[in-house]
This record gives sequence, C-alpha cells and structure tokens, in this order.
Amino acid sequence: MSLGDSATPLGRVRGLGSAREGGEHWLTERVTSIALLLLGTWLIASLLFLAVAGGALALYALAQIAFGSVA
Amino acid sequence: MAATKSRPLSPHLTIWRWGPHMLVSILHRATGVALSIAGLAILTWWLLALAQGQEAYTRFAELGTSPFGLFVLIGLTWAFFQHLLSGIRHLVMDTGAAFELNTNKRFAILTIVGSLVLTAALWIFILGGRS
Repeated sequence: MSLGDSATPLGRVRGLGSAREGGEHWLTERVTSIALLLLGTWLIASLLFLAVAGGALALYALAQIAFGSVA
Repeated sequence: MAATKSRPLSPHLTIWRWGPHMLVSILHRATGVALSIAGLAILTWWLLALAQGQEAYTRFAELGTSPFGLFVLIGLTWAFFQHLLSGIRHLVMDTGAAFELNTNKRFAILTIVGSLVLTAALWIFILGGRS
C-alpha cells in the first residue's frame, strides 16, 4: 500500500488515506454485476424450463451441458 | 486502522427518516446475502438430488412443492428479482444519472414494484402450468 504524494504528511504518518486499489475493485464489481445480470437471467430461465419438465429431463439436459451428448 | 484517536463519524442509521431508497439499499444487501447462502445451498441440494436418482429427486420435489418449500422458493425468486432490478438501478446510477431526489425515489419504488410483479408472473406461470 502506498499513499502517493497526495497524502498530507500527518495522514502519511497515521497511515490514513486511500488504499489506491479502489479503481480496480470498482471496475471488477461492474464487470461481475453485468455478467451476473446475463447469467442469472439464464439460470432462472433454465430452472423454469426444467421445473416444468420434471426430473428425468432435467438430468438429461444437465448431462447434455456437462458432456455434450448422452449415450 | 493505524489511527488510535477516535475519528468523527457521519450521522448514521438512527437519525434519517426512512424512504424507498433506504429500503432498496438495505434490501439489495439482504437479498444478496440470502441468495448467496440459501440459493447456493438449495441449488446444490437440487443437483445432489438429481444425481442420486429418481427417489431422491421425488423427495426433493415433494419438499419443494410443500407449503414451506414454496414459501422459501417464492421468497428466493423475489430476492433474485429485487437484487436484479436494484443492481440495474446501481448500474444506471454509476453513470451519474438518476440522483435527483424525485427520480431516485421513483426508480427505487419501481424496483420493488417490478420485483413483486415479476415474481407473481413467474409463479403464476409455474403453478398455472401444473394444474
């Protein structure tokens, strides 16, 4: 952690000020939130179809996703 | 914290009058926690039940469609939509928009109304399709 030149001498001595990692964290939060927006909607839609379809088809669909095809 | 002296604190929870934006703010955190804990547990349970075979899956489905099971699942669905819409609100506010008091309040109310409407629509679809 470095405080850079913007910290006042007193602030530097006390270890106060920004951690200088805020920008990256901010951006990470946005990227994951947009990814979750799409993936979450996909999850709910998938569960909806599977819930209507029942257990056997759910297993079949998951096997398709995991292994590509089912023997 | 390296500082040992007590630092000044900004006014906190107790002095503010409750409004939609405060409700949506704390709901965003509460629904996020609920989804990541209960949602993950139930999703894992569902996958395990699927993997264990017909008998286990039937037991899971019976529990899921019992009154308490439905209560939990409908609650989680609502938590998902509330978190989703509130998240969209956050993304809009990240652009610097919708900070005007009235716009902000309206947007906050819309996330609550929207999550309730979407939850109702989804479960009417699910339960309507079954009977």
